[in-house]
Amino acid sequence: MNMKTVAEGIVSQHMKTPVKAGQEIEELPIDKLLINDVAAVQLIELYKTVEDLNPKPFDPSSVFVVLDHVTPPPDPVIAENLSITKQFAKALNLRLFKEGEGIEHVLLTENNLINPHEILLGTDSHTCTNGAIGCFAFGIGITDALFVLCTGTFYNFTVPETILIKCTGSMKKGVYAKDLILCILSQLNQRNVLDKVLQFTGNTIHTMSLDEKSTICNMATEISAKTGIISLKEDLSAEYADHYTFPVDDLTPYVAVPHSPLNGKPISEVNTEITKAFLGSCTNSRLTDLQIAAQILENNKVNNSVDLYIVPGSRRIFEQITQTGILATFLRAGAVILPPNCAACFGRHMGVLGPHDICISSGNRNYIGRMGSEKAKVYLASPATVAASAVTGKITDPREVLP
Amino acid sequence: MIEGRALTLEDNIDTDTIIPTFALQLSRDPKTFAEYAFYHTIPDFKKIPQKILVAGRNFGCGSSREEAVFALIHADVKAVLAQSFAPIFKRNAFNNALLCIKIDTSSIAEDNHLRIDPSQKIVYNETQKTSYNFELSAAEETLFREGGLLNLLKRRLKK
Repeated sequence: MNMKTVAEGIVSQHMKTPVKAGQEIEELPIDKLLINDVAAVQLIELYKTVEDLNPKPFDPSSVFVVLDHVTPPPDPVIAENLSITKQFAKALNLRLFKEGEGIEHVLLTENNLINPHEILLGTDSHTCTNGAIGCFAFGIGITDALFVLCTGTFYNFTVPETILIKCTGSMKKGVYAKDLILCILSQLNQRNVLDKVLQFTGNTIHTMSLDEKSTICNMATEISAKTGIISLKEDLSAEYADHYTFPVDDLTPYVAVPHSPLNGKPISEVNTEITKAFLGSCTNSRLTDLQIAAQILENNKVNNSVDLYIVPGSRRIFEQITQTGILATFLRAGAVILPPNCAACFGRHMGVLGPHDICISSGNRNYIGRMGSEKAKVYLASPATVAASAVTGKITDPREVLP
Repeated sequence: MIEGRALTLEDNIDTDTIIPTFALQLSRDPKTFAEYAFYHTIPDFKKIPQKILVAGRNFGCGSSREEAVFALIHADVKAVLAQSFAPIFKRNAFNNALLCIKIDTSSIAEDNHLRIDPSQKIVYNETQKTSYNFELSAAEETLFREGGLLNLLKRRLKK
């Protein structure tokens, strides 16, 4: 009887008729649209070409413009792009988040701007992060975003198949959501997950905090899934394209080695010195991420041969670490604190890597050139592993230094 | 009919590789991105004439940057053949009428002379005297025929 995956359920609600995976929908109604500073300028150029057709923009209060990727501007060209974007947001009465407010995928859930069972599209592949609250959310390019902006719908949507990923048990001390998702991605590599929804379930997932669920859903895009989603209102007997089970009790910290986020390995197999440590990004820059790092940095100093950059995910998180003394811990340990933005994870400013750098990052991508020089090497890991490695100067299992 | 020479690539070509981050905001003119296509991995990519990219699995993974598609189109890439495509890239490509064709690319070699008949949905490998049938969804066919989503949007707004 009409058993549906979470994605099928949400799309059915929006279409006011039951839909199944594989079905094509000519125009899918969208609830929320997210635009960031990198995509905005090209989107505005496209908008100019349809402006004289008097598009009736989609509810402007449901369109979020977030200046997070390359802010504050490192050069005059980007400064001009940001001005153009601000003017556009003002002219269309869109909801603008200025420089320093935070990273888009941290801000939306933090400010309750999206809700479970809504459909959110964003000009950023990590829009899937927002599946953490049970929102059906995925990344799009600027032409699709223009279509959504002008019509409130997404053109020609095919209801995706869903893969059920069940995680059971409890992770040991020193092992976190980031380790789990890096492990899952490494295991699913080579499997047929392209354009499918990863529906994460099981007691491990459902007992996670929102911060942890965000980390899990964030990296669904790294394996070219349609999105990740977590919802307690799920029907496990619906029709799934595949089922995978991950028992997590014996999971160890994981590290994705250069140059793919799918190259996850148990940390015991990774042994390398580092020059940079990056703690930030839409994957891991939330309060609990910074609290874990603070536990490690409390009575330790950043190694003399390492620069540790810490980038809180939002202004509110920055305030929280200030009030709780975590900021002081970071400063005493010798970290460089940067304002909320994507920073070097996007590779355009604030701590980009040089050709000889080897970086441990709490971010999501380690492609060639992603964080700066094409000769740099980037290892992806949990905030705890980043902090522990910053202290020792080499990639270090956080269980060795956690108090 | 689309014609070109095969330029072979491996699995998991990401959009940062197709167009690096530093180039994204250099200009508001999409043609500029062609100068930076495969900037770190293929020298003078733009100068190689009439290219048909022939890749492995998961072509176009990673960032949603549509500049990756602009860069390819303006660098004389006629079509992309791959074992599979990352979904956002494929969407962006058809939205700009760049053909992404899913076939078994494993036996196509560098510089093979390829011809694509989009209406019959056949790829001919003139060098190896082989051919491949492919499929497009109805929407992909429409987008390709109409020259991309912007044209469809304009028509819809005129109604």
